[in-house]
Amino acid sequence: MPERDELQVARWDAIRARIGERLRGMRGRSRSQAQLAWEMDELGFHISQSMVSRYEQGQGEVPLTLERMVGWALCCDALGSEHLRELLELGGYALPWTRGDMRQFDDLLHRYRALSRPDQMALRRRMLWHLVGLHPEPAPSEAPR
Amino acid sequence: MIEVRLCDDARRALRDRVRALPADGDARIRTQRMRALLQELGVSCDDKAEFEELDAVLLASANGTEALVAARLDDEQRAIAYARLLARMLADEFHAPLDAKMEYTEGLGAPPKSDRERERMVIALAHAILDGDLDAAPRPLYEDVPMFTLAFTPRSAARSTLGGFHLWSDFWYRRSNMYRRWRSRRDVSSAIRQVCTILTRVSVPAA
Repeated sequence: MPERDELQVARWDAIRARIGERLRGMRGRSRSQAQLAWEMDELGFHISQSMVSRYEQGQGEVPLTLERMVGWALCCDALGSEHLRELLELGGYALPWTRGDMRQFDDLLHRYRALSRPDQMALRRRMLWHLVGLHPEPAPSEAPR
Repeated sequence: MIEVRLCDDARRALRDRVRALPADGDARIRTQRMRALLQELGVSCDDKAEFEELDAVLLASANGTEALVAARLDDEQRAIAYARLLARMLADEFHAPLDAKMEYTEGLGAPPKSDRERERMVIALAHAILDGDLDAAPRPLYEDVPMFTLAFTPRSAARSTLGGFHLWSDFWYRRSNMYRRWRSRRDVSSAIRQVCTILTRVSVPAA
């Protein structure tokens, strides 16, 4: 486990049960933990089913990063949900988007549902960049030398 | 809520540049030119997207615009995909906060009925770009044209008539397959070019 300050540990201990509640709320009943873990793994997050389970029960040991929270919501089609808003607030994070914007992201994701699985994943990976407020990453061949 | 549109600056810059895009060379060279043009406009291009069905996607948000092109395409298909991305940028609208325009292989991935005409229009414009024959498409799509006004003074009549023609042509090009086919015929585009030249000459007061 990476080295963490006492205050950080204490803060995480104080909020992780509430974080778990919101994570469960985002996933809902229609999506299994295994499915969520698989989708997050496809997006490049190193999260297993047991980690999903532990975080949802408020037993995750390492604080969730902004990227993981957003990726979690992206896989649950819950970007515009109250759960994510509360989650970000608890974690002390902010995104450069309004609630309305986030709902439109969800709408866009629904439209992607008609695409094949690999195409959906490729698009979601790119969407994450935009969501967390990063400029598109240049392709390796065009990276500045 | 005010609708914020994305890509407007890039579109303006593209309108200034697209006419000068050479059409000679093989598919690989034409692709390189179109890719370079997009990059100059600030669009990040990735030719190695792992798409299975999609040919390309133009993804735009306040954080930037990126063109994702499927790695599986051959040179010819990649040139078509880039031409469609350019056409898309010229003729379509991108809505904030984030918009994605998807390009399928022609005939596959039928868009919803409401989008069908727009898709066909983008394809027709893409072919005009790829062939280096922009005259086969209405000018308002790729350059500034005179505006149609109701103030018909002797001096503005020719200019306003020209604006009216452009407006009419743009309207039908976006809505009618028959008009697009007719408009892309060489004799028709040549006749339209002559009419434009005459009306432009008449509308410019002699020095």
